[in-house]
Amino acid sequence: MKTKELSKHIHTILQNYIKDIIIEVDTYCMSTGKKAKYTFYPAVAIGCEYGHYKSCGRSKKSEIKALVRKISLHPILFTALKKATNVEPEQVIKGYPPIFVGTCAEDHAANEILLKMGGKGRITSLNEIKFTKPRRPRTFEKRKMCQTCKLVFQ
Amino acid sequence: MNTYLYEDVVNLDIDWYCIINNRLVHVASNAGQIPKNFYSIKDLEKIHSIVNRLPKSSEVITNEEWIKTVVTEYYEQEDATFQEKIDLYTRSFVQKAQKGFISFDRVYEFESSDQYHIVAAPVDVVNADDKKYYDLRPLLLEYNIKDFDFSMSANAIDLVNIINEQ
Repeated sequence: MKTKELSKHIHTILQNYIKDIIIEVDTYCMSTGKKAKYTFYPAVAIGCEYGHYKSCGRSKKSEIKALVRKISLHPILFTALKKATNVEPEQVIKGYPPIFVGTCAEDHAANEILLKMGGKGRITSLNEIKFTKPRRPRTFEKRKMCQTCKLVFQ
Repeated sequence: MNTYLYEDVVNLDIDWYCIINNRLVHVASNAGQIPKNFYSIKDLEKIHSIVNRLPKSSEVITNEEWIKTVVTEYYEQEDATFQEKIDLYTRSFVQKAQKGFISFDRVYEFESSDQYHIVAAPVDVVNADDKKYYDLRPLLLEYNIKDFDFSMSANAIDLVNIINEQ
């Protein structure tokens, strides 16, 4: 992980991202009728940057489907995930434990960066994206990167 | 019933609640499993919503020994003091204890075995049949578990399996 090369700004962005999650989860009230972005904490949140592009992501419920259907998984990330795991990223492979591809906070954050970039500039390799340490939003504890993310992003 | 699936809970740190031996229990799932045949997603969200609105009226005791272990192992922010790290870790659990819940966290290292520790609890015993839990109690699943140890010095327990066996 190239954490030393990260700008200080991305850590502040991640802190604010997590603070927003905390406020929403701790004040969630069903009777207001307001649709909550977060009812419960995600297990992990992370920040990442590429050049001046910065983004945060979180692990989340049914993320595979959400990424593909709502955010649309960027082709570069889709291909990298498929190559690393031999699994189509929009599919959950049942079994115990099931295989999850594209569900991590890293995928979400990197996907946001790739989508923000659009046609501007090119990333030749996903390991050019620099990540903060993964954090548990409830407590700010550090977490480890999973094996799939290491394969895809390191 | 629309419940959380395995592929959902591994990505979430869900707050789940129940009553064990007439004591209110809160658990942070920390990407671990939740008991089988538990609440629907909607019911769990409703319970969470009601708990958020409960007053903070209990004095709280924390599991200092366990908290120090976690903070030493999982925090590295150089700009925060040890006490600030403790506050970061305990914030969510203390909030629940102030509302009368004995608050558990999942031990992260034991990913497959789902072990839980008490992090915070009310100083005085709070019973689930207290009138301030009038709206909440009918929604909570209740368990009577023989010899369940609520003491801070208790070893980590396999809470989900214990409940599944009831």
